[in-house]
Amino acid sequence: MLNIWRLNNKSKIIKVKRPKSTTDYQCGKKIELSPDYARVTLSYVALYIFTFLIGVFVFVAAGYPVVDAMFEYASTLSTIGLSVGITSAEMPTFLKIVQIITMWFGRLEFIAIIIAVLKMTTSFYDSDVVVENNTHSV
Amino acid sequence: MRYKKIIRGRYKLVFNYIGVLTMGIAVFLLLPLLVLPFYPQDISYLNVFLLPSLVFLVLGFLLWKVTNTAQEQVSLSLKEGGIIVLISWLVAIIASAIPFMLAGKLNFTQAVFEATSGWTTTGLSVVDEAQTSHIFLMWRSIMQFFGGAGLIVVMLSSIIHPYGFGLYNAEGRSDQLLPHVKRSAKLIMLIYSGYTIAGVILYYIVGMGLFDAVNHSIAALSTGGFSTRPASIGHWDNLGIEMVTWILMLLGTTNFATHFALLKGKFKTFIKNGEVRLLTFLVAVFVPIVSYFSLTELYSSLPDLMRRSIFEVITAISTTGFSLDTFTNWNAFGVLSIVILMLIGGGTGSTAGGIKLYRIYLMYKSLVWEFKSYFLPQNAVQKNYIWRGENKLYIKPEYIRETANYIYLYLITYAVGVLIYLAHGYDLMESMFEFASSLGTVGLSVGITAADAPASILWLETVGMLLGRLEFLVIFFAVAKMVKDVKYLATE
Repeated sequence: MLNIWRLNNKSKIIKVKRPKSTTDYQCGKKIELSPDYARVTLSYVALYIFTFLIGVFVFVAAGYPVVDAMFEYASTLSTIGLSVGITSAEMPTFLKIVQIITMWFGRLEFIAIIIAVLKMTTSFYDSDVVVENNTHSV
Repeated sequence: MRYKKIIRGRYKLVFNYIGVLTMGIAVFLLLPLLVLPFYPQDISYLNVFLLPSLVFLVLGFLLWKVTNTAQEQVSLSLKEGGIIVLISWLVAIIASAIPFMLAGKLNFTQAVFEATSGWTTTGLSVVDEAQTSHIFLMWRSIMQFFGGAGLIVVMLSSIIHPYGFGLYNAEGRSDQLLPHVKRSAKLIMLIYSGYTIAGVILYYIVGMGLFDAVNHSIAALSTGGFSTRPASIGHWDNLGIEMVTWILMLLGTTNFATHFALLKGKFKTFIKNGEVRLLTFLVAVFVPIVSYFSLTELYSSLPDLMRRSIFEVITAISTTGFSLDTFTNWNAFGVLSIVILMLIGGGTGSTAGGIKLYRIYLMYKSLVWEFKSYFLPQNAVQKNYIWRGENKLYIKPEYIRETANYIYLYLITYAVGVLIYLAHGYDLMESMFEFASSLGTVGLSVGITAADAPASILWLETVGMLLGRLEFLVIFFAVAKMVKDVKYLATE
């Protein structure tokens, strides 16, 4: 146990609370959280919320009330399956397609899909060139 | 007891600043009296402003005198700056509410609401503009003028001598235009006042009366949105006036540092600026989709439709809150679009509110960088930067995390606020609209905010506006520090 000691004003040594380290438990193992790790998580949450908003907009544009749209799309994106009645055989085809893609994205967690697509589209180029491009444009 | 003595010394300094600021607020209370020569019938309200002004002048002077012990100049930390900002803003709001109460126009809740709405440049209002005398209309605009620039910036540009950046940075208008804090503050006031005067002239040219021109110019540039007419800008139904308002609102929502780059003729850096790009993008996307999905039901001619949609999109994204007409007949798509725009808000270091374009832009960029990094060699070093003002700003991972934390804090507060509205029995769309408007200091309303709204809703909005304007963290830090220090001083 590492404690931090400090001299207080009376020159008496007092024990100061150890600062909380940025650790978390995952699968029973203690892992150190680096800022990078936090950033990846935040990116994921941001992507999720952003996608949610876009989806709700699509439903609202199709003429459904906002509460119903939010309910239905949250259900789809999180692959839940609850419904307020929008999802049915009579639903417009493009909304069905939106739902299909959404469920797929929600289950595979965005980043895998995006990376895969980017990889497939960029693999046709010489890999050195790709690296060049990235370092320049970033 | 040396440590305690140091803490006491610091708080003396903090209260010394607060004393000076209180005296400044007392002077602001005298400013609306300038309309008396033009509108002598308002002379009956002379005491309503003179009395609180005198009281706060004396209070401020006493506070300043008591704490004014000769000590070496020390620089203030961000947290101490936060305490000064928080307390002086509360003093400003209470002082500004008193004239409304003394005149018997509003009760305590309503008066505090109105003053907060003014100082935070929101523009939600519980007074009926048609029944309000000129002196009070002017007072509302004056609050927005100073609230827009920020109490501290105004004071730094005139009387206070700053030591360190703590105070300047604590108010959420933190871009430094020049190396020197005081000169930065002066420059901001110069740009701000210059635009305001230009705005008055433009309004006058397109046919607004002088009194309305002054008030609307201030309200547009401070992205406040208090109008002198119940129907806001819609009162005139004049395209010229609307176009002047577009320009002023966009100027108001632009970072002062960006203005500085623009005024120096650095047009290229202006274009590179992330906020400017995002703003242009959002306006370009939302104007057509709001027109198509929402307004085609309401308007039959294309020019009318575009006029309405351009105006409302700009007023929402710039967090101004002027309006042409009611939102109650909009369909869900239009209202949700406006809610999203209000949540995003205007530029950092401008007079706008909301999450801020800059933070959204940074999150977008960080996503892009994230994906790019997957394709880079494992040990590649990325130098990520964005353009801010006229400088390249290199982005550290910690910085992205801070920004993301801010956004989550904002959204959580938003969700809690909306739930409180829902608990009062309002429907979801109204609740989302009204609280986005309060938290983002916008000022658009679908009708919940009115003199007869429940007091709990008015207080919720008051807190929301203050949190939104002072950007959460400063308030939390300040309160946490005060509690901690008081606890420490109370021992033994």
